[in-house]
Amino acid sequence: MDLKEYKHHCSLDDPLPDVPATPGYTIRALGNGLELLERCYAMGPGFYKDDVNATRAKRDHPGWYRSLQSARLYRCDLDLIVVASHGNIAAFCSIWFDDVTRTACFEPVAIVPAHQRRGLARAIMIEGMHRIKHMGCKVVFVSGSSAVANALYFSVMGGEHDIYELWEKLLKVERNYIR
Amino acid sequence: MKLTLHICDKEDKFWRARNFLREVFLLNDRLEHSWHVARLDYWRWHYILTCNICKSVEAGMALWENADAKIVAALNHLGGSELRLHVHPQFYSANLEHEMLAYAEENYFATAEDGRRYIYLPIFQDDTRRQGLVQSRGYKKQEGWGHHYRRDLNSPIPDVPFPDGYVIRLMGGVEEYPARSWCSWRAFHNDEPDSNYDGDYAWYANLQSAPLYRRDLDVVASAPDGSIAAFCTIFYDDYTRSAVTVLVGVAAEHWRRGLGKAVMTEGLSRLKTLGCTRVFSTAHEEPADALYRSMLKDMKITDTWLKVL
Repeated sequence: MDLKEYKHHCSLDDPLPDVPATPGYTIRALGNGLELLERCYAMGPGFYKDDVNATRAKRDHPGWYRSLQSARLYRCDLDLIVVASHGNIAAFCSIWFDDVTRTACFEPVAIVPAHQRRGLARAIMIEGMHRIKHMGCKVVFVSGSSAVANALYFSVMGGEHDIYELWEKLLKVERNYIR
Repeated sequence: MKLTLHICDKEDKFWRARNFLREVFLLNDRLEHSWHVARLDYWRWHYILTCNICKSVEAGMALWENADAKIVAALNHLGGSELRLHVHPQFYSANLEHEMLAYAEENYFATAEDGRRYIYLPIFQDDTRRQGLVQSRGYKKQEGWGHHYRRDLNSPIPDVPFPDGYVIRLMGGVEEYPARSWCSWRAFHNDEPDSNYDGDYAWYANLQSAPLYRRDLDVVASAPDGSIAAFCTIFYDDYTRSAVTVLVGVAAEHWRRGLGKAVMTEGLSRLKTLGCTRVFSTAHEEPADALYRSMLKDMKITDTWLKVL
């Protein structure tokens, strides 16, 4: 198959660039209540673009986000959002930091389409890298499958990466096993 | 066995020491015969960074390594002249503990007003081995106790009555530092005039930068007027599935309303959801002791052993 996944990794030993200015936007940790619903909603345009139903489902049934928040490595201080001046969430990224191995992983990273091409993704990722470095993190990882995502990750994290390729096996189905 | 003493003077050593404490804690059946890693975080990010009762990690932590560069013991200078010893059970020897105490007596002592040097450490009442060892070095049991409570989270956490008008929630962002700091002042310095409060709330950012800090385990109770009335900050280590309540307090004007129990109950429920199976709290004074006694089931007692050098 042709699908490739880039596994980017970046050492945090060297000084990090300053967080780029994002006029009209604020980067901070996700809050609770209505903001959590807004974050659920942003997942739709962030990942499903024109699929209004998927977007609405994400907001109307926020239990999925509560489940995610109960994961052992979830920390709400590493669940970052970029908030536009009118209060909408324009971008988000969650970082999973493991203090045993001193490594972290970005998952997910997304920009709401109306706010793309303003440097928000780069800004929120660099803010996140500062936060985890401050906590003692040594290496951070992120995976990208699309050209756009990989361009962002190369620009933020440098050139270090591995490539995962998909290997496929067609399994024979024994007739006797088909019911 | 040849062991080498190292000062904890590099960041990498500190992080290796964190995982050493985890390893020892598990080998000791998750009992606090050594520090829980949360206590090391609290020591560094609160006692050193904020309280300045110990100058630095380098000045307050020593490690013993074997020939394979494996950490087998660690010694902490908590501050003042108080010690903590952490020994890997498979590498324990009386000689090693003598060496650790000799190092501490040389480097971690404090000086009293009369010029006498002294040093002390807590020892569990049932740890006769260490008691005998320190007695042989001239330590004597003093007044002063520590009650080390723990509770396994394998049964439902009962709801507790909660006063009307208060709200249990998570600590907010930077904008809540002043209110949270003031609540700590009213909880822990309520016998002092408020004019002594310096208004410096930067310490809270220090606490939040500890690796085990997570805001979703930083529970507060807000009063009807919006002020913070009580708090329970918990450091959870998912590697050992255990946690320590590092800061629990109720502002004096909100005492006797069940708020301490309420914030702890919320914290314990959250811990259980995260997969935590054991939680610890330590009390050295009466109000905290009564609260932890009511919330946590098991308890071990330490006595204070002091040596005048």
